[in-house]
Amino acid sequence: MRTEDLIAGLAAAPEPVRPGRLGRAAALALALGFVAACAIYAALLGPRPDLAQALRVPLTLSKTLIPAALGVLGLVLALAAARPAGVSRPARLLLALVLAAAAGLLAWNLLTLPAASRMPVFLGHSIHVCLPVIMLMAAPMAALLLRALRDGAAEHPARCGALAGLAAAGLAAALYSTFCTEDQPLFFVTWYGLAMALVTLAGAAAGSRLLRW
Amino acid sequence: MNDREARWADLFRRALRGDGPAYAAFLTEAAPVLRRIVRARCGDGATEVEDVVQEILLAVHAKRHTWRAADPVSPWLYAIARYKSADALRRRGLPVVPIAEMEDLLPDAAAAGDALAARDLERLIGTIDARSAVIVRAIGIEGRSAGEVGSDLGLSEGAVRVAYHRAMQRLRQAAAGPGGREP
Repeated sequence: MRTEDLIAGLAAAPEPVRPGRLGRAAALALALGFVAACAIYAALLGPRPDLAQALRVPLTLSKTLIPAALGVLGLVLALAAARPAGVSRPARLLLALVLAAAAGLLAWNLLTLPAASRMPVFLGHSIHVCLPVIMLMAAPMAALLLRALRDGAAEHPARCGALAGLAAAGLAAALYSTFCTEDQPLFFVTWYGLAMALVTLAGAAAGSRLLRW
Repeated sequence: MNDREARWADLFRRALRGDGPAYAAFLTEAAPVLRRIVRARCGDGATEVEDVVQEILLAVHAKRHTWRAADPVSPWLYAIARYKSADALRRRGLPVVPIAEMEDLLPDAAAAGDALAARDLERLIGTIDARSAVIVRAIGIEGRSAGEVGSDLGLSEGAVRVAYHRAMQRLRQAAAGPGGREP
């Protein structure tokens, strides 16, 4: 085929394109996945009994807000990564700040806890629930979001997939945090962080296959 | 340069609203720039460069919704060109697996099959890569549909048609070349 013929074919009757199609589809996918995650949450977990009071404590609130922020930023950055030459510098900066805040909380907690209680707080009593359930709740969100992002054009499919994983994991961890009663950053930054990192890695692996175009 | 950026943005914005002539003008202006990018990245093989340029144009078309009217066009366009050039380099020597959404634009697969007799095909098929050969055999000789072949190979119908079309193109060139005869 001659290139001029190809161009003539493409331009013969181009369908009008609705702006923002990818963003809408991705947000919808994540929202649907969140509904599925809520169903898992309702079936397996349920809110902690003292949720209303607990969320009045800033440290406990941060247990919900930090992952939620990571989830939203993950979505924004995944969408930017799904556009050729797309970047979102503000979101990237915010992501760095939120990660720094989480690390700061962890360090502060580690330094201020009496030595004897560090290990018990670190290990907590619910790692065996926390890790699998966060990943389980992230799975439908990650899967639907990745599917939506296939309509994009990620220059770096693994990176885009990782960010989609982060979006799913952040929202999953935020949801999980309303069940979890372990309110010390030494516990939640570590173990939520690990669960989110694993989902992010899985997202990268899936993205490198699914998001090529 | 900024002149061109403004003109491209205007043309492409109109193209996204369905303005065919603006789209044709945009793609026609972009093609030589893309050709230079591909040549710089993939070397100078004349047919291959043009193949990659066409793949980039197809990608631009299939992914045109990922451009936001507020963004400059060139970085978006060059990013697609980089990605597709890297892709072409990666699978150099492997069959071309192109973009799916092009089926309507391509000539009908069966009609293209008539252009070469099955006997000639078999002789020429040895000259192309294995996957293209499978596709050409299945469609051109066995007369199966692109959809069936695609589900066997795990490709979309459109991808099979594009691959078939490309393979036929190469076969025609081979047939017309030294030792071959014009079909």
